[in-house]
Amino acid sequence: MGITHENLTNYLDRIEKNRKINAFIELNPDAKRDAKKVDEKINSGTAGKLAGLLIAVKSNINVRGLRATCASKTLENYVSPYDATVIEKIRKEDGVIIGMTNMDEFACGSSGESSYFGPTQNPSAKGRIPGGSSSGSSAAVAANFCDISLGSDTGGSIRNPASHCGIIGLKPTYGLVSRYGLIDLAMSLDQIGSLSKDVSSAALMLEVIQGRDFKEGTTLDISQQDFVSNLSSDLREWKIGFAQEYKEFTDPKIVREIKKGLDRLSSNGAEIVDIEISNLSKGISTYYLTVFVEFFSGTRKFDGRRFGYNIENVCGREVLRRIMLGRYISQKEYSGKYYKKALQFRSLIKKELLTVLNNVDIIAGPTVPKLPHKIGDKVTDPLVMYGYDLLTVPANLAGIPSGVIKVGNVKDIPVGMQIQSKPLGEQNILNVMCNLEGEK
Amino acid sequence: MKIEKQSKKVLKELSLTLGNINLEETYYVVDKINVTRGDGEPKKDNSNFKIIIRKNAPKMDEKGSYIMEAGGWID
Repeated sequence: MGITHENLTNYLDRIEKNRKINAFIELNPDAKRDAKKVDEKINSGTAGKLAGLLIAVKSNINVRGLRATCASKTLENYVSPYDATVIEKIRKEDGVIIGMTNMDEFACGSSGESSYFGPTQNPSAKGRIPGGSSSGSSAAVAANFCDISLGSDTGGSIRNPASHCGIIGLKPTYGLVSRYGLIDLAMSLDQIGSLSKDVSSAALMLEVIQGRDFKEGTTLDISQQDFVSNLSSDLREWKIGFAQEYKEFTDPKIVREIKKGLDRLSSNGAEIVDIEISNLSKGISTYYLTVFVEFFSGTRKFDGRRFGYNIENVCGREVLRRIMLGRYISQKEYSGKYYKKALQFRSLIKKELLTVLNNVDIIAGPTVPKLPHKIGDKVTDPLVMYGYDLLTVPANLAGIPSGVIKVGNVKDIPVGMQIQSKPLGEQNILNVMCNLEGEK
Repeated sequence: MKIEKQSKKVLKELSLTLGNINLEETYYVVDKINVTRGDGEPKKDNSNFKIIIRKNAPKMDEKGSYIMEAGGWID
């Protein structure tokens, strides 16, 4: 048995024994065949960068022959007829897809509870939510069901669960990774990224999936970057910004762990400087008013006539709420009052963040303002649930890259530090995470 | 309807938080699109795209009407 096949067998065995975690919606029936092929290539010395690795994929990314359900009844039986660009790239480098992961329905959530296929458990904090919307992708990595997983991040959907599950999450710069084959939540904010157990895996996956794509008009025309060989933990002469506003909105117990992480960076040579992000509190309103409109537009194809069911007939409450709000705001007489105003504030937030990033190498701070709640604790007020995204949405509004790494625990619940950098500053983020990882 | 009521409240609160401002709007496509790129070369698709997409199509009854399901799972 080759190494890929052996890895796959071990992972499938672990998934079977821990079905309660509910990380996967569907496993890939062809994974064994694919693993054997990769093992043959390894033996002949022709294998790619991802050979031997098993990759889990969020259920809003198209993988040919597997169901892209978006964890919704709407697409319950929808089988992808094509591969997303990121999947093509993963297959080209001999990564094997192990299965499609659970998520919040149409990525509309931050807890992992709104899936039609049932909530996902947090393997790192028993009985609590894993965060969302990439709940299954995060849980699959944390529970050691795969090597790396793909998620999507519209307002924190990779970083939020990475923090709650104590793993590495990386949302790249908008346009660095092709979104072709990703089922939209909000097209101007969505970005595909990775969740992994270590920093080198995050660097490796980004190296594979990055790049211009003729099929996706918003991908950036830049040369391929070599993230793995440029990994370094040297932070001498680095300036790391910490905004005082973070303290205002975040649980003090979380802030304490973040401060400990900053102290470690400081003792490793970096200078911690105070910065001001005065428009932080405007992010949620700006983000949601944009998302409602773009989500409404993106869901018009789910009318049940070509595939799936009519979305309004079968979707959950949060999805329906967003569609209703999007429809309302999209009416001509209201667009100036809400959507245009949100676009103006988006300019303001983007300008503020880019100005701050001119004076520091990275911004470090908390990822989620609250600890994950217990599964089943009903959060009935949508505005309370939206509050989970307060610290993560600015990166999406500004299109900048952002990563998360575990820096501590509060009562055995992992706490992740969020690291943001300038557009295309992924290497900075990876290097800071590399430093923190070496410290663990 | 509960969702409709909640939605109105959400919209009101989000709008109030923003207040007023007079700035240029950020339209991402204008900022990001690579307008000078070429179209690339067409290539033949040998995959089973058509077979899968036909299987995804909704089923019809004998009168030619689509068979739909209005879900009660959310309640």
